[in-house]
Amino acid sequence: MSTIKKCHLKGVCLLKLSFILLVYPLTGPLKAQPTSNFFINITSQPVSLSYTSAADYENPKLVDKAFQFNLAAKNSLYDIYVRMERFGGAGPSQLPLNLFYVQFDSSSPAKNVPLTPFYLTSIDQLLYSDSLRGNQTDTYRFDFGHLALEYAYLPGQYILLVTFTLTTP
Amino acid sequence: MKILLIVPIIFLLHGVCSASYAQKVDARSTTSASSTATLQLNTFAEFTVTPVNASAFAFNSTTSYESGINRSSFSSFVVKSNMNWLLTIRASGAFFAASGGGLSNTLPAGVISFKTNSESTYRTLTTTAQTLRSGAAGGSSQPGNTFSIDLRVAPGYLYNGGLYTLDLVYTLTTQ
Repeated sequence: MSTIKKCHLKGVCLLKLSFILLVYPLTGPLKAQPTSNFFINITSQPVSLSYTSAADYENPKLVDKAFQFNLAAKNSLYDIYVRMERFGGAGPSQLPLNLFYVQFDSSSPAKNVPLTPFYLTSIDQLLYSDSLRGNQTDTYRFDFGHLALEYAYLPGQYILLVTFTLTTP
Repeated sequence: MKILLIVPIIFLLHGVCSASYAQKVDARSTTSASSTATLQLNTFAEFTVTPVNASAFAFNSTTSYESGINRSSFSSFVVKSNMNWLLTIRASGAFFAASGGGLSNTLPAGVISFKTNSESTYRTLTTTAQTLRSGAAGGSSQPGNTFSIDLRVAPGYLYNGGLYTLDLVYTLTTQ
C-alpha cells in the first residue's frame, strides 16, 4: 500500500511539473499581447536648436515635424496628452515652459485634428482623442515651436523633456 | 485520487493566468513616450550706433571758439545682450588727423568731452577706454539699453584752421 502511495505521489509531482511547463509559455503571450497592441513609440530624433544671432533671439522658432510617434490601442478609444518638463542640464536661468508649444503637423495624420498650438505646461493636456480597430497603428507628427526668447535668459544649455501620453478610457 | 489532485492545480494555474491578464488590462490604460528638445543659448551681445546729430562741428564764431560746441544726442545706442554688459568709449589716437596742407597734427583728442544723456557732467575723451554705460541683460526695451550720448568739442584758439577728424571707438563686453 505504501509502495503504491509513493508511486502515486511521484506521478502527481510529474504532472505538476508538466503543467507548469505547459502553462508558463501560455502566460508569456498573455503578458506580451496587450503590450504589443498598446504602445506609443517616438520615432523622431531629439530636437536640437542653437541661438547665435539677434534674429534667433528676437523671432519665434518653429521646427517642422519635430516629434513623430506611432501608437496602437487595439480596438479601443484613446486619448493623447502632452506635457513638458525641464530636464537635467538646464541652463543657469529657467525658461518658462509656456513659451513653447506643439501643434499637429498639417501633413499628419489625415484626420480632423486641430491645427492650433498647444502651449505646454508641466501638466498633461489633452491633444486629441480617437479610436483604433484591430492591430492598426496611428502615426502623429507634431511641429514644435516657441515664442521669441529675447534676451532674458542666460547663455547655456537648456534641455526640455516633452512627454506624450496615450491613455484608453 | 489523481483527478482530485490535478483539478486544484488547474484552478491554481487558471488563477495565475487571470491575474496576469487583469494586471495588463490595468497597465494598458496609460503609457508614455518622451523626447528631448535641447536649446543651446550662446552668449550674445550686440550694439548699434546711429548718428543723430552728428554733422561736423563747425567753428566759425568767437562764441564757438570760446565756449565750445555742445551737441546733444550726437549718437544713439541700442544694446542687446543676454548677459550684463559694459560699453566703453575711447579715442582711436591721441591727436586728430588734419586734412589739407599746412595743418598741424597737434589737435588732441582731449578737446572732445562726452556724457550720456542721463549724466550731467562731461568727461574728457582719452585713448584709454572709459565706461560709457553698463547695463543688464535684455533687448532694446530693457531700461538703460537704449540711450544717447552728448558731445562737446572745445578746441580754443591754439590750432590752425582746417578739417580735423578723429575716430571714436566703442567697445561692448559682457560681464
